Amino acid sequence: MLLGLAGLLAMIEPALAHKVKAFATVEGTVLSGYVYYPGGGKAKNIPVRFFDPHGVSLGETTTNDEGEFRFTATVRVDHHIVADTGDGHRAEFTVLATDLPASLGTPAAAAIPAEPPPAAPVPANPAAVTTGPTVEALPALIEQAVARQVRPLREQLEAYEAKIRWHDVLGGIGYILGLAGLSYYLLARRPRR
Amino acid sequence: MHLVDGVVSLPVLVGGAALTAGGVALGLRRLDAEQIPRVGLLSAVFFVASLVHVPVGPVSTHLVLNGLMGVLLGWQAFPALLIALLLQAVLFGFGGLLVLGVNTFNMALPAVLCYYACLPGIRNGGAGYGFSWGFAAGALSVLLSTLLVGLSLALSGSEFIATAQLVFLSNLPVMIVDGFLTGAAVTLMQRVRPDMFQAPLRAAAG
Repeated sequence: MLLGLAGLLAMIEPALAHKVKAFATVEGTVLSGYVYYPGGGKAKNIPVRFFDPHGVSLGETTTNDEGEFRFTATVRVDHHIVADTGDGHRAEFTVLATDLPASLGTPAAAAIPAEPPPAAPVPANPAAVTTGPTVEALPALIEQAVARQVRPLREQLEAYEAKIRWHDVLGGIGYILGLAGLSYYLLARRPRR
Repeated sequence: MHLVDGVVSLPVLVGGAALTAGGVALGLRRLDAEQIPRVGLLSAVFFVASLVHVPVGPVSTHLVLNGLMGVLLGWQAFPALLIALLLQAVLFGFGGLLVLGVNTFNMALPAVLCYYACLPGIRNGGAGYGFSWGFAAGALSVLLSTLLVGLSLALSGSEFIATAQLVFLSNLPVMIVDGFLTGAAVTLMQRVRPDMFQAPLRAAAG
């Protein structure tokens, strides 16, 4: 009966403060993201640290009152983001190097300062100045536009993955009942007192 | 309150696993076939309880219910909580798998302590005191769990006072809600199934 009651209550509105998750996308060279509790609430003023694939620290920042953070990437490597809320919950998220612009130096080329993509190159013919974006600037602009469009999709995907699903709940209960049945069978066969 | 992998140090991991193994062994020693349904049922209740969302003013809390488990199961709370926490980790991602021993201990030891502290009061106190003792069991078990979580983190390097304060304060609404729910459950059971409290599930002495 307790189980039925618990199941009924769970149907009303399952919300979780059991996990903390982080999400980030790339805009130009800036990693922008947020730390949140799936099911409700952003994690405010939480330290966020950034590591490269070898565990070397790339820097750190703190989430603001909306749980958001921004970090400027300087090297084109996978950025491993770790947010620790201090009470035993930790969120991790990885931004792949391929999402970062190619103009950022790779670690081997870090000694050579990377040239930013020319946003307004000197026109070959001064008389033919155009007001629209130049051909050289297009790839960077397209990347940024696509990243902006894709970001809501990625957020939806993260939210979908974090959702608790009914079949997981039923599966768990099923396992418990099955285990109970199995133990009952085993214990009943060998009476020991 | 579910710790994740990577926040506790290795000695804490190993110690928690060893203590949980001992608790589970104690719980299984006197486990009879007739007690299995109750153990399984309460394990399932705990498993689902974390999904139940109760708004307390501006905050939304979740249920824990390890106090209720302790009062009804005694030492059997160890295996029951181990299974429930394992399934929560695997199916919902609540807490890590490596820290399962630590998490189980943090939840189960307060349950057993509430069994010793509150069950005599429930059994002998009469109808009027069932709610109070149930409330005490519910609130105390969550309180002790937060202390153990703070201790686990402190032994892994973080500052105890600050961490314990953080965990305690963020779980204060949970203590109140759990207390009320456990008290209500105890009152209900005293009325319809008083034999649940009369049959002690004791581990073998010695």
